[in-house]
Amino acid sequence: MIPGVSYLLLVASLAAFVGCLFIASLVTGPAGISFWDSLEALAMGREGAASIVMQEIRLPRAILGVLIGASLGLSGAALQGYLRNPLAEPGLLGISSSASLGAVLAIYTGLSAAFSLALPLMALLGAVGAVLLVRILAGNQAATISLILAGVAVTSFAGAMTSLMLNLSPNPFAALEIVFWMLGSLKDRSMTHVWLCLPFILIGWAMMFQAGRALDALTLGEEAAASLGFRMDRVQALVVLGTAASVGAATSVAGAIGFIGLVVPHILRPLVGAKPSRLLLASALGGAGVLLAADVAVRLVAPDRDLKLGVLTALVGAPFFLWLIFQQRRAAL
Amino acid sequence: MESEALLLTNNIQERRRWLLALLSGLRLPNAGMAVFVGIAAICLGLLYPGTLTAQKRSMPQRIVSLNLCTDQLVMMLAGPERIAAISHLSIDPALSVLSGQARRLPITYGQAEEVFLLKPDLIVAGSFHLNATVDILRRLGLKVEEFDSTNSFVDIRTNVRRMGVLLGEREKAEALITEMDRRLSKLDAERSQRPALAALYYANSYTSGANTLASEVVERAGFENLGSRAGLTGTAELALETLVMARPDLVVTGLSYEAPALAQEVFAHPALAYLQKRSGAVAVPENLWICGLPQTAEAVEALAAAKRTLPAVTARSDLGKPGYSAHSDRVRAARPQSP
Repeated sequence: MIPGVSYLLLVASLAAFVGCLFIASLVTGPAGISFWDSLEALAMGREGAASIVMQEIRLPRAILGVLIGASLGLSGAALQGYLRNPLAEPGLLGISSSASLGAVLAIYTGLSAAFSLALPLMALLGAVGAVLLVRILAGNQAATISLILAGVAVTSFAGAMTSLMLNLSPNPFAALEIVFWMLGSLKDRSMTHVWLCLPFILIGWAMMFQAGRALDALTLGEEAAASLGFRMDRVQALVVLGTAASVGAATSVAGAIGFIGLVVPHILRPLVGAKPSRLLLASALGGAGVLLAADVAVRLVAPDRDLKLGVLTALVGAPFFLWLIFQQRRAAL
Repeated sequence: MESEALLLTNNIQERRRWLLALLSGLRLPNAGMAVFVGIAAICLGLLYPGTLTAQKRSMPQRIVSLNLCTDQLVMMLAGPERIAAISHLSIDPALSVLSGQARRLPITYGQAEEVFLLKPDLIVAGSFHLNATVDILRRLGLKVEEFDSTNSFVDIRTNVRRMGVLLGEREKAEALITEMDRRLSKLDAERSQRPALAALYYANSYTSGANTLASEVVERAGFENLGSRAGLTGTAELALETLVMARPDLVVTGLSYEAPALAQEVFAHPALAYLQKRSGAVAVPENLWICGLPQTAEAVEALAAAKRTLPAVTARSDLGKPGYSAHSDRVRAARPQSP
């Protein structure tokens, strides 16, 4: 009884945390509209500059913060559960950078201008490719070291191809956008971007939540899970496609944002009693909160610089990652 | 007379630059080397003006330009037979007003060895980049003249005049300046005094603040420049929401490249579309003011024309009332006729 209650409490407080940061994201910006004025302008009709700022600039930014953060946290938790490896994460496995490559191919060849769904679809394809490639490279055992090495290889390759594409573009601005695709930003995104990625993200979430109970069984090992009636090929399809759809769509509108999928599940795992299915929802909420916080921070730290989100997440995430590797090594001794 | 004085100041500046370049060798740890370099610098500094004036007397016949802006001045002043090469940027119509003419000329990518092999008798370059290349070319004994970037119409006159002197085409240079000034003073006479705010908005949400050529263009056309009002100097980022909140009477954008880039996505943002609908909107080709050229006057003409079509009541007063779109104005590409 008590664990169930504390889980509900955890979820409720995470949701409240996300709600507060959502409002913080809405009221942060260079336009200098006061707190109540901005919320009133958001709720009011379409006239007036303040309403336009709130409805067309800040609202999509905050919504995307929630959607993308939740996708990253959720897919981190799902991948860690599925691969039974604490270092699995979309950024580290090269899923984000391959999705970036897909998005870059769609945008800079002009494909997405002709057919807008090409953007999330190509990013999804890139993401699926990366997961499968990492799976093949790392082998079925998914030992930590081979998984990480495969991720490094895929990330470097996708990054190099992205840079090549952008450097070869006849548009001189394209080469500068390598930074966006590698570090991610939510600056000046619009509702168009929200509608474009929303269906893919929701489908991805649904698939990953579906895999929840199978992930619980997987903690006992693959054979045990299979003997409990879970079909491993179906679980793999759910996790791989779910991650690819949500991270792919998220990356296609905001670039690759690393480390959220790594850090958030780790922090929350002890709080949910090491049950992967419970970790999914908690990580989704935690991821949304962390990305919103990072996005508020980039606007407060350097309002006129368009600081990239990946810079902040890596500042926190990279030392955390090192600490994790250290822990792993100690555990192995 | 004025150009003689200019020539003299150029010589002095040139000599100073030489001295500075050589004296910077003093930072070397080797003191003996430093003394040697110092003495050499003084000797060279004394010798240099004599050789320079001697060279000036003959017209250069193999001119190489390394900079988009000097390219265009050279093309306007010297015949194609005297131009050995221009920079590769000048063939891009988005950057250069003389791209058609540039396509018929040899180009370089600003590398020292390709420039050296062209055996130029005069190299003109911008003073703000390619410094390593320019240093090498000077060490190889070539004559390099550097031009500062233009931040005002005064700078345009200075640069055109100086280029005229260097190329031995003073009359042509003076004619270009006279024509530019004629167009500008015509605009000054016609300019309406009604206050209006214009916002320059380029790719990646950039704008021009105070002390820029673009800002002077905007002011000459009778507008206040939003970038200057916002306290920005040079080319700086202006957040989209700041732009929307400032409610400018005219939004001035550039022309986009056909090849897609995220930098241009801001032009498709619904918030900007709203602003362009309720205020005036005009697109002025950037090539008119990336470099300060006599053609920059065309940009002033385009903005002045846009101001004449703005609704008589300043758009600011109808804020918050429905029906602002009655004044709506689509973005027009402004390209006034060249004389």
